[in-house]
Amino acid sequence: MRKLLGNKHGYARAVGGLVALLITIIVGILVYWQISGGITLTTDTANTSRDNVNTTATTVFQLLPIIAIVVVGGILIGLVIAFGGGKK
Amino acid sequence: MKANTKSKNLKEDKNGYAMAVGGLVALLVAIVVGVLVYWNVSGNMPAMTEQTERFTGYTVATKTGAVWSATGSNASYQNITLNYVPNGASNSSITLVCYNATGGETSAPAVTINNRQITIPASPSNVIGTPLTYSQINVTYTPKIYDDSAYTNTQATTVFNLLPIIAIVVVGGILIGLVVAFGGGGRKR
Repeated sequence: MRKLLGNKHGYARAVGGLVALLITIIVGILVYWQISGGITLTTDTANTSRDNVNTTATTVFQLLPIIAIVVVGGILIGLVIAFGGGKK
Repeated sequence: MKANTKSKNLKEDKNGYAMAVGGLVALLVAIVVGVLVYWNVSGNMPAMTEQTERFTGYTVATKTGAVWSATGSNASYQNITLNYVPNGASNSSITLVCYNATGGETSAPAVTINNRQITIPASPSNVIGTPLTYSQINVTYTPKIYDDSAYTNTQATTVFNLLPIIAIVVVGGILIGLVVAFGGGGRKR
């Protein structure tokens, strides 16, 4: 945050980083499900195991975009604190 | 106050305001270009709509008198492989309909879903009496990619809605700093 405030291009870079993060997530979803869909297993145990991994992966994919929201929230809080005389 | 100090620095710098405005414009341009890039990537993802896949080439069982032939594809179980993983492994997550040669709907059997593989159970005449004979199978389903991407898109929309607020907060900070500075806000010399 301090580096961001002291950097003229900091916010633009942060936005670039957030967009890169979101694009990585959505492309990651595509890649994951293409690979997972291509895995053919023969036993019920293996299939159950794969289905469990898929369920967890879905949870992870739902949590990942929250990182971006938290980062934006952090930037906003940092800005407000800085304007209010927070430590530099 | 830091805002006051920063504002003083801004006032004392000849190009200060121009640079601040330039930075804000750069921020807003970065956001709008980010929106453009993100939605272009997201919009070009495959399987972002409900999918309907058709499987053909099945042999229809024939009936001679009261006897069905055992040569139809329905005599044994059939496996089909979808292009994408459907959202869910229960029968309710996909719509599978079998059609006869004239396009008439013959059945919507309960199937087994294993990842992309769908197993249509056998329907031999000697088990059921009247077999669910078909020449084409249509499957309609929502891919898992679509479901997860839709969620990410919703969150991305939230992020893109929040990002311009950074610019508003920065402008607000500059304004507050200016007002405080004009009002003689203390600056230690």
